[in-house]
Amino acid sequence: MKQLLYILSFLLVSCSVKEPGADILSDSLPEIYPDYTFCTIPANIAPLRFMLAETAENKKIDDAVAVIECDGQKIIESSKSYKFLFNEDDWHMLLQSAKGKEIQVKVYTHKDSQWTLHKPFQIKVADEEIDSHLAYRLIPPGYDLWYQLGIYQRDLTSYKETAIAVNRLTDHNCMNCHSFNMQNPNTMMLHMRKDHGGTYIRKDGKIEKINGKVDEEIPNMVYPYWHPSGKYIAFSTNDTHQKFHMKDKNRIEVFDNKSNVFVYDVVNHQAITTPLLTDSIHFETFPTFSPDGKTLYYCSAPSKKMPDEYQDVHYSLCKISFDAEKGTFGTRIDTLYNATTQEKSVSFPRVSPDGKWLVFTLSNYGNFSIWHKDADLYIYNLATGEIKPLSAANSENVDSYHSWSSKGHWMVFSSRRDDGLYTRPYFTYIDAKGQSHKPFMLPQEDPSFYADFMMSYNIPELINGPVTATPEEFAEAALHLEGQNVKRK
Amino acid sequence: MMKNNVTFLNLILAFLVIIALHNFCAFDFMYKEQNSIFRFSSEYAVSYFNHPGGAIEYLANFIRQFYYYPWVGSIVTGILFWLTTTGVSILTKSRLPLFSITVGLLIAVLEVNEDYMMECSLALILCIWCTNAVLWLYNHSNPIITSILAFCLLVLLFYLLGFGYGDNANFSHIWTLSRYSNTFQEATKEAYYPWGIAVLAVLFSRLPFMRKCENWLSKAKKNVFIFYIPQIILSIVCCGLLYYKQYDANTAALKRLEVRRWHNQWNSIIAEPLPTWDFPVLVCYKTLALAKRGELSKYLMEFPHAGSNHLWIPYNGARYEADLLSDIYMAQGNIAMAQEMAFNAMGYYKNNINARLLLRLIETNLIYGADEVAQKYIHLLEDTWVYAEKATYYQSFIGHPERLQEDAYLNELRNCLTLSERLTKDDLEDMKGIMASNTSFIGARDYYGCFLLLCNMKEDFLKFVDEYCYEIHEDTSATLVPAYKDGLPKVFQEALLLFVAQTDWEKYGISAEIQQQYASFQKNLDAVGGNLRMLPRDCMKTYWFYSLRYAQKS
Repeated sequence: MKQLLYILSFLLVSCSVKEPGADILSDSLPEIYPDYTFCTIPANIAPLRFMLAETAENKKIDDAVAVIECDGQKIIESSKSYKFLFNEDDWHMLLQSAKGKEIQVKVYTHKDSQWTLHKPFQIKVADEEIDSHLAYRLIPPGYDLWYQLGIYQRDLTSYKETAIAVNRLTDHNCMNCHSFNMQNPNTMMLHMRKDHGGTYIRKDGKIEKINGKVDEEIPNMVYPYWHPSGKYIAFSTNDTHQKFHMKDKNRIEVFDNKSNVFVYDVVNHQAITTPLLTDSIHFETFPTFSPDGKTLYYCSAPSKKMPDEYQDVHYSLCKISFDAEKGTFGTRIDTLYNATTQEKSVSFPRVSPDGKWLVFTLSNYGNFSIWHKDADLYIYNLATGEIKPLSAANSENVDSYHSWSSKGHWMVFSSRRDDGLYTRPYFTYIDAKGQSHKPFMLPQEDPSFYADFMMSYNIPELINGPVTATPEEFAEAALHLEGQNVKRK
Repeated sequence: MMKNNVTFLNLILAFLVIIALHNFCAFDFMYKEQNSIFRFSSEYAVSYFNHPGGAIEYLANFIRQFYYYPWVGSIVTGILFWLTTTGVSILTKSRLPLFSITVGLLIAVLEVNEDYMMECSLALILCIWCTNAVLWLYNHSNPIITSILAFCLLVLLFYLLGFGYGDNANFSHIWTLSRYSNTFQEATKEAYYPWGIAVLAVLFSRLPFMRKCENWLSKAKKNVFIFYIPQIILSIVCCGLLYYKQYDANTAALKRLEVRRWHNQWNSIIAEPLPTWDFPVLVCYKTLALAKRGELSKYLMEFPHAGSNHLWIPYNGARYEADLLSDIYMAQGNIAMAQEMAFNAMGYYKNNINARLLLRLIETNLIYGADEVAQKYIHLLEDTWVYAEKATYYQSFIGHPERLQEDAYLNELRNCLTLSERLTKDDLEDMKGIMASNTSFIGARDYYGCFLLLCNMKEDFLKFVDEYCYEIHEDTSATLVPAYKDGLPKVFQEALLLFVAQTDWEKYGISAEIQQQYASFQKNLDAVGGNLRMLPRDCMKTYWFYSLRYAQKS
């Protein structure tokens, strides 16, 4: 219905709208929301519909026109409601011809019988396209309760969102940590907590339920990462708690009283451990395999008395070798980034698919940087050891959980920069030099969508196609499948 | 003639329904106002009208926003009753008042239920009247036109009601009975009753027996009364039983207290009679009301307490607990926990939005200086009917933290932010931090001191008085903190009189009046031979009575 309205309004408008002549030339950029000025986008992204920000100045405007052009092709969109709802077909046509080029956006506003042309801005269209889908969890930023949450996927080339799993069908339990093997939507897993608790692995169209508790030392499976072979999943096992800050603007502190890392053998249902990753004097978490599967990266911090010493926990970036043939770990741990000496803390390491780069989140302390306003993204050159911030992508607010696209040119990350509380997915282009480009927020059909939306986008993961499983399939598995027990190797 | 009588009768009954509902259920409707939010904005309208079933929800939300005001819920339900009863009467050719009135009364009874959705009633009414329209057309027009119009009506009904269409069509609740106000519980099957009886009414009214009945009715006027009165009585009895079945005195009291809390009617909460004092949550409302008036430690013993859970309760995951605790923590100056509980409570509402809790979150975010988040919530409330004024007021603080000083309430709470950064620990430890940070804030001190007294923790109480009720100056002299600049509160003095030696009474400023009252208490106690139950009522409203009873119990 809504689509139909948009198409009808587009047809009506496109028949009559012409680019107005400018009476006044303004030196200032138009104040638009979301801020898409000078960002870099993939050619297959859905139209970046935007609106004029609700400023006092913009409220005086009685008409507005946006013109997008590249090499003589133009899209002209008029709006009295300050929203520029570009047609999807026109947009895609224009972007396909703009690959590797810049498109120019001009915004005209009409006030006091005069048209003002604001300073035009450019949007760079990268040569490389982005994976077609984004998977994420939608959850309110409530802290102990979740009445409605689910894991969803969004077709990035359009505005279509579909559910992968929703807790409405599973007695309103918690579900989290969806993870895909090398951005492949057909090999995935997710956890459910409390009612119907377990890890659900979907491979080759079949869902298997795993009982997360192995023994006292491995009481649960938490942060996952698939081995590229699909035979293993690295997990951390965490005794996680959260507390509110009485004064700090970070609101919440999530911390582990205990954590270890192990590898789960998907085929043999075995937990592979090493004393190097399960000692009690360190907190180990956030395991990540390298694309060749020979190295396991993770974060490690000397254990502290929690929560009293929560500000003294600094996670370093470490690695250990892993033999996928034998299913064994190496005997040496290398520290790539010593957080203790830097008084910083590393979380969420993620290696690019080509194995060149490792991006992680750096914050002042702790591991749950999702609540730390100082959290920023850093990139590590695995060949040279050079570390630099992804300055163009970072903001003054939380910039945290990130994942690579299957070809390594794009990265999605969650940020609270929009309003300071609700996380939104942002996409940044990573060029051959490991530089990030100005990111853009996930475009929506209605550009004012985020203003009213009371959910956070959690764990954004790029995938190279849609997940074909339905929420009913996961619900069926949750309600009826017997969990597979895991034994130690 | 009979039809006119029925219409008139339905009107009278509707009037009686309104009066009855207002007298017995006014708070139930005001309670339901919180279940949804209505915004006068195009985005909001589009979000409902862009899918089948959204329109009826939009209408219900529009009406429900006015439930904020007393009488509105009763009047709306009275109108729904009239529309239903009259609609079914027309459908049944006024042959079966038992059925038509029962359907109407069922709607009225169900509307009182906090989990029942008005959308169901509106859907039923629309279906009934559309059926009437089709039947009228059938009698007054040719079959082809009737069929076309009936088809159009069906399409319109599908758009308006949805009939369970799609994942987002929330009108599916009528068919699935899922509920949004508290979806952790299963819905009751009663929502189907009016539909079932309406269908039965139509079927019965078409039985040949009914024609004979009509002939009999037309023979004598008294036959009409003989026919109608028992049916109406039976209908009222059936629906009365249903109401009685879903009525619970504690829940009713809880709703009254909730509504009064939402409307800041603290004096009414204190005066509200409770069905039992054994349900600690209900007493928490009363102690909260005292705290809101700054008189918790003055009048704490006005109520018969049974322990510290009369001040606040542990959070066990219920909406009302989280909602109430948010207010209690705010009264204690614990902004972090007030915010957490507001979030938790809001998680129970559809789309995670509740207008009143948004106001709380605006307050906490303004206090923390998180203006962007506050702005988001203000934006959501600016388009509402009831909450727009408050939202506009808060808008003036955005970008101007210095203006918070002009708002005594917010400024006082901002001063409660602990001096040094720390994580929430437990309620008592949190209050210690707040007391140390804001010496002029009564809330944390009152709650802390009263908690210790209700737990009969003598040593801790004495420590609390020395550490948090007095300020030690450089010359080692001690004066009362600004919060108690006029002297220690009544209950504290009563406790100190028991806990400290007589030589220290002056040091703690125990007034002559309290000392006299204690003498009188002792005299009365002697007079009744130590039997606490025989003491005069005034004596029972003292800490001395509470501590003796506490000692007896333990």
